[in-house]
Amino acid sequence: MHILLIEDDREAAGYLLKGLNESGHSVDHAADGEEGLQLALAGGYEVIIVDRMLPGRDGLTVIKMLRADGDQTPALVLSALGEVDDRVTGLQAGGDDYLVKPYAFSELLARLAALARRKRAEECESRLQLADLVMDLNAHRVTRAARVIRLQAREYRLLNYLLRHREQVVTRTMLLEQVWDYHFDPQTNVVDVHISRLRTKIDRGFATPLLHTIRGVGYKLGEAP
Amino acid sequence: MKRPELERLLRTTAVRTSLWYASLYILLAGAALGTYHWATSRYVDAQLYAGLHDEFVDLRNIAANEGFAALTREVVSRSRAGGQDGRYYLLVDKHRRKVAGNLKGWPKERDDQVPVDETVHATWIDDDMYPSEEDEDAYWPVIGKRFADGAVLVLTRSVAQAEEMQMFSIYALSGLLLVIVLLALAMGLFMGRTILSRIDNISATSETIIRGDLSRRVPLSGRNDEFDELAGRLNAMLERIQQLLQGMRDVTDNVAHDLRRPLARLRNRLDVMLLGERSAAEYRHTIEESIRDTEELMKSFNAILQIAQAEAGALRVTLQEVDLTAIVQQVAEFYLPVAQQRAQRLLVDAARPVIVRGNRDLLSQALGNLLDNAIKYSPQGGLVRVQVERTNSCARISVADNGPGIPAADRQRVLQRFARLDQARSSPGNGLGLALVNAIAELHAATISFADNRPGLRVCLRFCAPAQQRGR
Repeated sequence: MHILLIEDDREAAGYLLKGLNESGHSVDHAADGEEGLQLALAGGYEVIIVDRMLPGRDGLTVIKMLRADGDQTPALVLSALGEVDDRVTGLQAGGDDYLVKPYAFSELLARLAALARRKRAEECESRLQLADLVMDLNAHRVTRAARVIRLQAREYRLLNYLLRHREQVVTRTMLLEQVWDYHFDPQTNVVDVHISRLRTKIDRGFATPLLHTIRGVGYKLGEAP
Repeated sequence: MKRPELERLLRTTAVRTSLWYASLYILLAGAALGTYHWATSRYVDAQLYAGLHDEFVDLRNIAANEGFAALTREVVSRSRAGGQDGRYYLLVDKHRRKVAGNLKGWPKERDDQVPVDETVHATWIDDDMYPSEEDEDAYWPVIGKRFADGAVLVLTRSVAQAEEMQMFSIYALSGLLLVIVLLALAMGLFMGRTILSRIDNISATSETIIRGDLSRRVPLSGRNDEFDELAGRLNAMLERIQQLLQGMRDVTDNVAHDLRRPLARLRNRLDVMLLGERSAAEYRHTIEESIRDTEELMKSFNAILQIAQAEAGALRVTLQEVDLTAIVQQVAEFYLPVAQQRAQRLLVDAARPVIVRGNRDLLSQALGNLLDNAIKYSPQGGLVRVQVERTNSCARISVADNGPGIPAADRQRVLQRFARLDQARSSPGNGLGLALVNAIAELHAATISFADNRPGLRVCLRFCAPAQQRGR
């Protein structure tokens, strides 16, 4: 994936560059808002990672100017400001995702993948499929190997999200935010419980499990772990 | 009194006001005195004129009835008695030679100056006529009559006495006015000093507080006056500031305590790793452990920060109209699988929308923490019940479990524990979770309370008017 990183903290940027490179991405780095905006306007990036607080032009302004120019490249805002309203203003400015520092690197990777995917496929499909698991969006019906699986509303939404991001690692926080629209940390790992219920419904009795737990990161709906 | 002090005193409102009043008194009293003087002199003059005219008529009658000789006798006798009380008479023959009377004589020049038309006129009396030295040149009321034979009778009265009386009353009134003005000034100065001393009290206290002693309070005089009221307000404000600072201090202490331990653990582990050669697997394991530690640290850090900010009223959150019923239903649905894992029933009594001003995310988090506790503390197969009600102007959420509950005696302590988030935090999630609920409740102007669920605990969050009214 071709990524633009706009981050003024050189050390943090260094780690990110190394990590992203080692994860198979190619990354350009800009150390301030002005340079970042120029690079972003030149185009060609699949995702832009932008720090909120930047010298010169702050991250949100960069995104706003980019959007004003008609550029819809997905942008992930990194910020040390984590309060409820900060996130809202970040997203209102045109950011597509908001990650509060410090974050796990795996969380960043997962979100980048999700953002890129979203751009690639804002599909209005009528069915989602993975192996023999099929979700019929019109009929609101899920089947595996032609056997109907009864899901409750929230389970359906959870599976829907997982199917849209099939073969991708999604983290618990991503699920919390996307499926439940919660931006806090529930004390118990409630998401795990929901996942295990869903797993029981879609995997039990089938030879190949589809819903995998990725240790220390999150989950992946895919044909192989 | 030193000069600057005097200047300061003169600048006080009380002194300024009393100066203004004193000037006003002087103006008013001056006007009153003027009016008084004018009115009394009019009155005295009228009396004088009337008396003079009466006596003239008397003498004229004597002349008409008893003849000129009788008039002469009468004038002589009245002149003798009259000198003292300022009654003056003059009877001259046709050659203007004095026949009788206690005036010196007919004026040598200006013959026409004496009125003879039998009416009283204010007339200039000069030294030709002066009866004595003490009387000065002045306008005196004069009445005269020329008889057929050319003789002239003149009567007049000195105004000196009347004027003296008037002057006396003016002096007396002026003296009184002076006393009033002086008293007003003295009172103003006294009040000014009193006010200054009370203000100085407050200033002195603030000075100490500025220098760092927040425990000082403004002393009250016990008079229950506006200064006591002001001092009371100031003290209440100081109390609140001190509380907030204390809260901040507690938070700092707790943050230090909560974060130091895991930080120390993390550091130790990494140090030990460096002591010798390890296998790749061992390194990997240690790194994974360390990452997990930092994650825990972040969670604690975030929670403590959020609590501290909410308690300090510094959380930047937009409150909107939210439906408590919807929030409760969603959170309950979210936690339902957790309850089901423990074979518990999770009942939600919430039908109609209950609108309050709030933040969905924070309210969900608070409710989530309450549900989490309820599920955690209820036994296997227990019942957790969530209710949303609206009673009059208040909205209420209650979460009831049938766990061990909190003994009535300890409930206050538990509430205090929220506020200070001390002790009992060795079990990490718990203490902070409830403290967070309390902080979020405070942010929404909601009150938290505990009741016995027989058995179990019933936590209530009451959202009353203020938070809801703010936006309407």
